[in-house]
Amino acid sequence: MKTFDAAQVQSWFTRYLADFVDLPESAVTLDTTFAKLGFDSVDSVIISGAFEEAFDVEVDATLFLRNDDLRSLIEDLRASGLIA
Amino acid sequence: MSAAPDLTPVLTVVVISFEMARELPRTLLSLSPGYQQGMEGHLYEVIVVDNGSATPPVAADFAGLGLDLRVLHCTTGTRSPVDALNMGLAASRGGLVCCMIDGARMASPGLLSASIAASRLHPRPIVFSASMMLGHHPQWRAHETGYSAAVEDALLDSIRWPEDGYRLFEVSNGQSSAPSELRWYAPGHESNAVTLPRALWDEVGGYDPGFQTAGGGFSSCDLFSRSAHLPGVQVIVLGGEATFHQFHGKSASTAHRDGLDQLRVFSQEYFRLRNCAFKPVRKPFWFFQMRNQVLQKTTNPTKGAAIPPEQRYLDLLEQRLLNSGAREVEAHLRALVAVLRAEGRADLLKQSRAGRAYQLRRVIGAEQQGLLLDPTLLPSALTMTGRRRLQYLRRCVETVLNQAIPGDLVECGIWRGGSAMMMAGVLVARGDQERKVWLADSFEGLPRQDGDYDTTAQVDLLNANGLAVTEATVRASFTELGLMGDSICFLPGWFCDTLPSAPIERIALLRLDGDHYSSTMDALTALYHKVVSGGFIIIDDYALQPCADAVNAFREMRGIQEPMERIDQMAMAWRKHV
Repeated sequence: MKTFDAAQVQSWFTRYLADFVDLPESAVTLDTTFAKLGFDSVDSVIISGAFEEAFDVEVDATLFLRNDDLRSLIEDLRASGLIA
Repeated sequence: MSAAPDLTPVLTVVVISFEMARELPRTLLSLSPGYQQGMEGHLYEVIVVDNGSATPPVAADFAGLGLDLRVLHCTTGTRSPVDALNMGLAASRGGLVCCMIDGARMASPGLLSASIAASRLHPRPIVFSASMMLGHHPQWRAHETGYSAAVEDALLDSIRWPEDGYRLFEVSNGQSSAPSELRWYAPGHESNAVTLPRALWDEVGGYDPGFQTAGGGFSSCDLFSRSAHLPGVQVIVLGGEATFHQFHGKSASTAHRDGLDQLRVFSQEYFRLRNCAFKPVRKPFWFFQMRNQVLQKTTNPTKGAAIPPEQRYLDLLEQRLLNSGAREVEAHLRALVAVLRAEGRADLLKQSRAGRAYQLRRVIGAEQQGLLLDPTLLPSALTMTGRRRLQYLRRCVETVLNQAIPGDLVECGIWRGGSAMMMAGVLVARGDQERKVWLADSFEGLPRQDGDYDTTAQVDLLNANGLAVTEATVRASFTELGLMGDSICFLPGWFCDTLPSAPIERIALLRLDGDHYSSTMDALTALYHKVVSGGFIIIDDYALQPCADAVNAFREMRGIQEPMERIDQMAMAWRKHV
């Protein structure tokens, strides 16, 4: 199974999510809730698809729905073995 | 020597088709000169590019439409319409080009003339039109809702399409799961009918052939985004115009049974090609509405047109139920005067003159608004809901029929039966013989015990002064109005006893008028799960605290998220989504 560095994943998500909502990267921290950024379930699927393409992996469709912020999402990926 | 006339079309419409034998004829009819309004002075052409149908369309089949029509054939063999779109763009001759990526989309009657007019407002215009779907729910949920081509055909028949193309708004939904008119018209990710001057099409380079997923993936979104971010352009949104997607299985909308799976594939392709986030266009836009009546027409389509007989009948029924003809009111007043004179109390009549004007205003105002001025003075009409609530109920039933929402109509809390008569009247006017109207009531008035919300004193007063109406009286009123029949079903008894076992299978409209906490809660508990997707729930007494408490508690308990709409100062309603 492929594994990635936590900083690498965090950096990608920060850049992508900031781009997604047209905010500076500084506005997206580990503790910024996805709800605050205005994501809905459709957005979650689109972001998951981009992540899969960027990292050439497959993630569970509920990855975003079951995590409230980037910190818990990265921990989730760590638990699933994608982050070393 | 006179110059040769300029026969260059002002506009080219490029339409992509793939296996659309059912849908394309309607689309082309909706683009034809006989349907499009305001195009009399404009030369325009339509180019259909077929993307590999087994039996491609033939231009001669549409000769009767009066279109300047060409049919081209894209033979690259891809499932994506992008190559076909670029082929159509290359063949177009118009100064403006409108691309319709999905040939199953019918146009509203002002789409083309509004696109031309809007494009003249700015030197670099991107003209965007809303994308709607026929049917009450997004078509990608057809496997849940039962939506089909046959249901869609019936919907179009119900609005007598193509008589008035704006009536398509009545039988369509926005693409959001919680549609609103603002969301429909705001520019978002894409437009199915987007119009640009030829120079801008050249500048943006047409559609990106990299998008090769079925239906084109996010190619249309990508085109709109790239166009909208060209320097110095202005996005102009057309108000009151749209395209309307017909149900078929060959577009991006239905290419994947699982809509979320589809999105994921599209997103992967988009990121692979663009290496950036997929997001809507968020730029200030202009809103352009060519004719004042257009938006009004979307909400009141019959205004200005000949009034159909069924509408005249329902208008008269409304007057009768509200007793706005005043004959009975006058009779009551004469009777009162006769009683006073017979009792030798003409002095009271004389005394009453001073305050009569004021009291008359109060009484008329209260009755018009469906308010009870005094529990001992119930109105003489067949309903005390007032005009606004009665008209709202009528529109709900008409919407149920227009949108083919399955199920019966149920009222819990009948009084003299006026609201149920309006439900029955709409069914009669529209010739519906399938649905039943259920009337649940104690026919003894309000219950005297109501737990913590016992309002015995008020209940006794109301019941003694006319709130208790017998089933025989209600039946007689139905008969008098010619509305009695097998479809009118009575459920006499207290709600807690009758509703749980009532033989009602599905409900399209549930109207609750039980005043109390327990009456409201009992009815919701027994019947809410039978209300179908798209069905209406009307709460007549939401202004009464016990009723509102019951509704709020039930909604919280069931996690009901659909927003409530205020009808007037008394009543609320919502529409079930799922």
